Amino acid sequence: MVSQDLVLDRDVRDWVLIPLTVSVILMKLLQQYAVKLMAAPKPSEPPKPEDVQQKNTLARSGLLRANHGFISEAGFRQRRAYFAGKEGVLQQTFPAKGLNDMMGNPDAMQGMLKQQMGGLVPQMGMGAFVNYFFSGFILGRVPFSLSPKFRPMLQRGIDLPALDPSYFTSLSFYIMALFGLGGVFRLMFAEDAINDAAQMAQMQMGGMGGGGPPTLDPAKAYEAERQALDVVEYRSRLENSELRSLKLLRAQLAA
Amino acid sequence: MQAGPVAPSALLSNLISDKPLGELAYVPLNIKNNLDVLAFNRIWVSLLTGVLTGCSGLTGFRGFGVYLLGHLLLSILLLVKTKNAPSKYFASSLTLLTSNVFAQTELLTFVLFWTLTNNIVFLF
Repeated sequence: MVSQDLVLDRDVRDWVLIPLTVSVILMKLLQQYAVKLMAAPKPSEPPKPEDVQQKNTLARSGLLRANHGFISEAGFRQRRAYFAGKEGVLQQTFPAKGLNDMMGNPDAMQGMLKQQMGGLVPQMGMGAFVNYFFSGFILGRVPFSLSPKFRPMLQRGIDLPALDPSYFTSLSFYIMALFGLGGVFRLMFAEDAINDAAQMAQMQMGGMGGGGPPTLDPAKAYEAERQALDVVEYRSRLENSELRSLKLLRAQLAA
Repeated sequence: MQAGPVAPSALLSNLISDKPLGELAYVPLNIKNNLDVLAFNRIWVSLLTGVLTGCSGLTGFRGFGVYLLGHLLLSILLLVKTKNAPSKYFASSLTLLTSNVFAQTELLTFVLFWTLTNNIVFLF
């Protein structure tokens, strides 16, 4: 299993391996901070009270649908009548909004596209750079032996069929470093990642497809809410709660 | 790591609204925090075992053995920290032992640092 080790030039270590790793680290750092800087700027106009009211009404009726199991049946019916009944809040009609919707959408799409492109372009650019400057030589060796099937993956551009597939070129090391250092970055940015996840979860739950007032179409949204409310069948979540709490308490006391 | 507060409350969102409440009660934010702490530690252990195996010159399956050993050690230490009651901190008591050990991030971190240090120390 012990194969003959190639002896590689020390300069290759000094000038390629270490700088490549360091530059991948720096690139990821830059990406992280660039994303933070380019985060969506605050809307220049304060939101109008009618829009906020509509959003809140929709949010409340969504909450009603999700949590109706915790209130009494009479309470649920009363609330449902408030929203979807004949004189309910959701029956409000609106003057037709025409072109306003189209203006809002491109902004939202541009924000997400920018983020994705911002992540992809520097990586591809750096990959091309590495391929151009650091091609045609072996950079290092993976410490475990691999089957010959890995040779095209790790040794692009080198046509030595007798060479151990454990040896890799700079491009494959670049890609390996890109994926491997992702874990290290999760270490460094642990708090930010947690905050981002919480923010995204909140945005998905609270925002209504896009988030900005221009993208909300109240007539359609209200219609959808009304239909959804009509479909809901009341079922109490607190059924048999005495029996269940008895079981739980017994389990806890026994443990 | 945090155990739940004295009276754990059930989830109020993201549950199917027509089923009665189940019998398991836990605080989702604390569970998530514990899982994040566990993942964080796993990545650290992958990094350190990678550097260790690289510097020591182990190759092949023995290196992966060190990796598994490192994670086993981490699980044991965390078990001691939970005072032998992992079910108080996680939804299932097996997560302490097996979560994320063969995940892509940890394995790739280990392989990368193992390769790096092995090359720097031995192929230099």
